[in-house]
Amino acid sequence: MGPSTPSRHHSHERRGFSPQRFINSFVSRPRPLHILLLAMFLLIGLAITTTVRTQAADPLAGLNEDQLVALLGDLEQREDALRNERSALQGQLTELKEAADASQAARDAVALATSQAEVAAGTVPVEGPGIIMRVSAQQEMIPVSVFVTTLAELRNAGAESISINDVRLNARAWFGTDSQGGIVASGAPLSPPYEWRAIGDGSTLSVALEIRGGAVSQFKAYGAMVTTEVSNLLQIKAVTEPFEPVWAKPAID
Amino acid sequence: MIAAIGLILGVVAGLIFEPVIPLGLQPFLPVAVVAALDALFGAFRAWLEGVFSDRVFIASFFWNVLIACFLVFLGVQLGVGGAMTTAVIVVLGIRIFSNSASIRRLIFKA
Repeated sequence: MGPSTPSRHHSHERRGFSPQRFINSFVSRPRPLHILLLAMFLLIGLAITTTVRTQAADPLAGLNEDQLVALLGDLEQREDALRNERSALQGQLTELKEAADASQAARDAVALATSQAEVAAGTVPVEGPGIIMRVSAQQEMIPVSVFVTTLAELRNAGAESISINDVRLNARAWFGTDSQGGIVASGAPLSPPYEWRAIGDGSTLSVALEIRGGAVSQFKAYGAMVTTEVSNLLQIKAVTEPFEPVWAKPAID
Repeated sequence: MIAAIGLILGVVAGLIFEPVIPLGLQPFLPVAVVAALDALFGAFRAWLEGVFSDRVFIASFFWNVLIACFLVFLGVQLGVGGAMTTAVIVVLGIRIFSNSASIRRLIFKA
């Protein structure tokens, strides 16, 4: 750079901006001083690039101590706020989980109580180990008291569900006779052969039935043929209608 | 032309080699760059006015950079580092503005 030699002879070109002067300076004869100029501009380019790159890579590098302290304080404040929010949310989560657990436990308890009540009331089909007793007899031969005794013995022996000829015998079951002298169980007429099904401990039930003077011997005493069969898996498909109490209500403590 | 070649080479070298500034020099480099820019604008204005001199340019370039860095150094030693850097940048910025105004007048005659 610098005033080029040719332009020195033309005083009108030594000042101001003109394309001719610009071009002249570009093609001026190299001098030793130009090496120094080259080195200087190289240095400037290098410095600009490095500074810009450093700044872009780490914007914090250009900040002074006060700004950094302020920034740090700001960050700490935000961190505190976020921590508080996090702990609050975790507390909420715990509460919700506890509530969910409690309601799940309540649902489980209700489901258990419901299934127990359904089995006890005989409103659902049941299965399990038990005993089948088949009684073949003439209809008129057996008095109703024998049926009542048999049902009581099965209950005493721990039978949980009992049926006779597709009539489920729950806690409200009763036996009686119709006008022709036929046996009626909970209102449904029965006709031989009678098939008792009882779910419970099969060996206990069979012992209870076959005890001397028990159900089997009473049936036999009236001339019936009785066979008992202990089964590991027995189904009772007969169900009763759910019972709606009219008078009794749960007592409140 | 020398200037353009030097600048381009410098930028390319900076991009290729990615030099890392030592931590001790980090406050000085931005100020040095602004001081060098000030010297450049001054030189361009002098060239347009027809009073350009190589020696003056080289001397002013290094002198500007040196004084700027020294002032920043002094500011750090006095415990007013940031303020001194700002002061130097402001003064150099004013000079760049006035130089560029002269350049504008000389080129556009307005």
